[in-house]
Amino acid sequence: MTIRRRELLLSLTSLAGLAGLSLPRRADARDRVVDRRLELWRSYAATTQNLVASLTTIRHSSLLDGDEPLRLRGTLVFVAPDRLLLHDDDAAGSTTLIDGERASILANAPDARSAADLQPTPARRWLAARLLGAFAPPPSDPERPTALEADARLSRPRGAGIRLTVLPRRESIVRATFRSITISLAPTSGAVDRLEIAESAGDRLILELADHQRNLEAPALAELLRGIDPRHT
Amino acid sequence: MWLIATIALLAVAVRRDAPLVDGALDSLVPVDERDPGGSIWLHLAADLPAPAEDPEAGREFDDVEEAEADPLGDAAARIHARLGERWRPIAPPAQETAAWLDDHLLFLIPPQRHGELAERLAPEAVDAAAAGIRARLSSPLFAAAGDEPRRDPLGLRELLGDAALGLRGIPGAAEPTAAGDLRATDGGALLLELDAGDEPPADLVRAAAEAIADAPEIHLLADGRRLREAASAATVREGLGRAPLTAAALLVLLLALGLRALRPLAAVLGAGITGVAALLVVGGPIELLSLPLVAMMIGAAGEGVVLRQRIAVSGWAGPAILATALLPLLLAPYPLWHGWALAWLASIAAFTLAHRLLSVAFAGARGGDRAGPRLRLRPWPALALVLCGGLLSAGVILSERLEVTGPAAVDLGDDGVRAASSAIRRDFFDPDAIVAVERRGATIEEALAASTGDAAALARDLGADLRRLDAPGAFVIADATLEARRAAIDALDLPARLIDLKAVLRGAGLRPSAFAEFLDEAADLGAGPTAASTLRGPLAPWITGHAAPDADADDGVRLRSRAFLRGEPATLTIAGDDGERLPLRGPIVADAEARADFPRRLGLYAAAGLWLGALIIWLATRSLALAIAAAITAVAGECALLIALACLDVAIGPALLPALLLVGAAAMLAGGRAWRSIDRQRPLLAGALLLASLAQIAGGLALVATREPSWQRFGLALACGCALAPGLGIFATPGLHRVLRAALRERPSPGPDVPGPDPSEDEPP
Repeated sequence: MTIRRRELLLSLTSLAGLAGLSLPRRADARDRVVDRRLELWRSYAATTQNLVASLTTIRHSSLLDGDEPLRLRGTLVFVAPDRLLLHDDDAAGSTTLIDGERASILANAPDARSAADLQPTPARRWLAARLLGAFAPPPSDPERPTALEADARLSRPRGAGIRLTVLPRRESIVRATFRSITISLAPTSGAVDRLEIAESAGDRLILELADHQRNLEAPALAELLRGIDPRHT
Repeated sequence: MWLIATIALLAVAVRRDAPLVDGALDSLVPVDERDPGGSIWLHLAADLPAPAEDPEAGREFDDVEEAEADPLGDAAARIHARLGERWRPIAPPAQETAAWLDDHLLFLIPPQRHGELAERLAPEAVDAAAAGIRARLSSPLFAAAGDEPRRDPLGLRELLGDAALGLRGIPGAAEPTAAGDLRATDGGALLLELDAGDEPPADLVRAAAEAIADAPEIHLLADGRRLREAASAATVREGLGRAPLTAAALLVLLLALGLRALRPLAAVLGAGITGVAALLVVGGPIELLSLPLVAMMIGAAGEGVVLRQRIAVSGWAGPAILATALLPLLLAPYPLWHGWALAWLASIAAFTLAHRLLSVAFAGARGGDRAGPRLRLRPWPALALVLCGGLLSAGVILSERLEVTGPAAVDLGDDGVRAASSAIRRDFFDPDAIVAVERRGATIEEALAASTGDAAALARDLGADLRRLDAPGAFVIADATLEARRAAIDALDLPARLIDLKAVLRGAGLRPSAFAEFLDEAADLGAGPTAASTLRGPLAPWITGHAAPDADADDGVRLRSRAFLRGEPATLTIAGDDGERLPLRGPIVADAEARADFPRRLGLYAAAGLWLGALIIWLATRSLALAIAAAITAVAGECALLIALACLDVAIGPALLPALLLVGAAAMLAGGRAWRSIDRQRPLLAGALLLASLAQIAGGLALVATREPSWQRFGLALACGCALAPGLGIFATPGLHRVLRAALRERPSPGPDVPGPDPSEDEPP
């Protein structure tokens, strides 16, 4: 039996095509909706060097007296690559600082007890990394996982809206403290509009962002930080 | 006669009541320091899909289902259900511990911090605490701050100090699950403890594996003393057929090439079989650490070649030096070597006797006396002084920096045990570094009361190496101090402070009932955490799991506390509350003590070996100079081996002592033979000596060829030592003898005028 060269080439090409189709691809493993939302977020975050936004913090907690949640207004400042500041305008509120691996919660009132230099527990480190990751530019290599994806699982919650849910890995001890973070994105720009943190003890914390200002000039940013950052020099 | 004796010995070795093989790994540890525990550690790890490949990651998020999924916890629960009677909580169950702390927090704060306690209950501090909680509520990191405002709004748990380590665990280390197992810091692994009791450990591990068989993503690894012993027994059983046979095969090859005659070869081999049989009969069951002695004995059978050549200092001195080589081990605190030192003596005696009998039987047969090259020696005093001086100086310097392993540190080559041990060390603690303290009492209550200060002492002195404390006494206050603490708490005017706190919390917009766990318990101090009340409380099942009958007292109870370490701590000398040293037990304790002592003891064993060898040489030759010269050569040989092992990065320890002592004896023997050659002004039969040394090296190489690390180290030491010792003996002893003879003004021996056999016409000695 003889095989012509053309037939051989054709059969080899077909075989290669079939093999290529049957190979698992990373993108297929995840929902395309999640990928599209991640791409939308990526398009916004990629050019963020710093970000300033008005912040409304809402906490639903069994610690609070009455049915009304705690609601405070303030400012969120992110400075790439790993600095995040959440400042409450209210004197009874606090300022949360995440600076790389370090984090602290400083009460705005001088006579209230603060929690300076929080212990680097797995839960604290995981949440801090996710909060930074929500605003930080993703890696330039699209194959590398973003800070939202590393050590976490991405999903999409039920209901309307451009939202992504970040969950601790199934075996993670973080799940004893945090259940999920749901990130809501602006439909057109991909900016983070809202973060909702579900705590395992039942509390929910919502961070609503508005009036996003990106990539401020250094003097303007310094001037802003001078007013709200307790450690700004 | 030889055949009957050998068959009888072999029959006794095989048919006796005691097993031929034993898996014990702590036979070098004194009996009263051995770990009596039979814990089996089960390491569960989940092989879950990576986030990017998780097929469920893209689905719509179901919050309730998501929160409940815990594959590791489910697997642990199935093992609990299957092996309930054998399962032991490693840590106090998390919920019960929290409840106990809520109930007794104020009592558990040490009296020296009561000043700070009063400050935290002052009105302005209460205001600051409530305002702080209110302020921190707006932070996303509030839940991860590490404090527990609901249970401890005033931050009083910070005042527990070292006592907190026994109650709440080490910050950043593995945490207990609700059941009392440990979960790794990253959540990726769980550790369960089983008490094997009298059951075969492999059966328990198999049962655990079957319990989680329907969860293929969960990987189970198991470690523990009993499992290691089972693996060790299997290794010895396998090695018993390989290492000695390899050594024997190498010996036959060497002798066949060297002797090129059947009958002398048969005499050596026959005598070797007798020697091995005697070794097995007297030595008892073969263990991982003692199997190398069998290979060593087979290597020593090469001495038969030298015995034929009659080139030793006398007919009996050579075998006597070899036979007594391990007797110094009788001075050592290593029980295993006591029996094997005598077994070695019996073995060499049986070998020598059998060789003599067989040589007589084969008398008249020629051949096999090809001694190979002959070396005409003369003393080189300068070379001898330089060689021995250099080696002894280097040995003295090195002895200060020797890397020493302890008697309990046995490196097992079994892949399963190594993988489990490595995983537990990575995720939890070093399974070889568990320290236990036992307290005795007529009842469990008494024993618990006696252990109250142990947790704090362990936490204080073990410091950064501590990964987990498993100490029931941490939850109890001694009766003697309870009333003093109650009085100090009463002086704080708690009822008024609590009313203030409620008002302040409400004023800050917080709901006082959310802090009920703290407020209610502070309002009602109750009986306090006495031993009796603790044993009636929720922690009682966990505490009673630490108790065992006291074998030393009728109706007595022993209560065990444990500290899990990540490695050997800086100190294991820990003083308890009463100033007495805590009676710590565990392999790591025996290892640390033995290591601290080993360099000094090493000198003692070497000195005892030299004294014995020198005495034998003096009795054989009546030459003090030769006895001292041979002894110095032997020390230099041992130093050379230590240097070689240091260069090869092999740590010395009790397991290598037989090899070290044999090398000293080999150097002494070679020195004596070289002296005899010079003394008689006849060439040294270097071929026979070379063959004997090669046989011993072959014994070592047969061990190096195995996969077992402890055998490889022994084989390396034996091969290196037996390669160095003869050269040292030949070139150093005659020179040293000449120097010492001049110094001691000893008369020279009659020399060649004394009638002696011609080596070329040797007969069996």
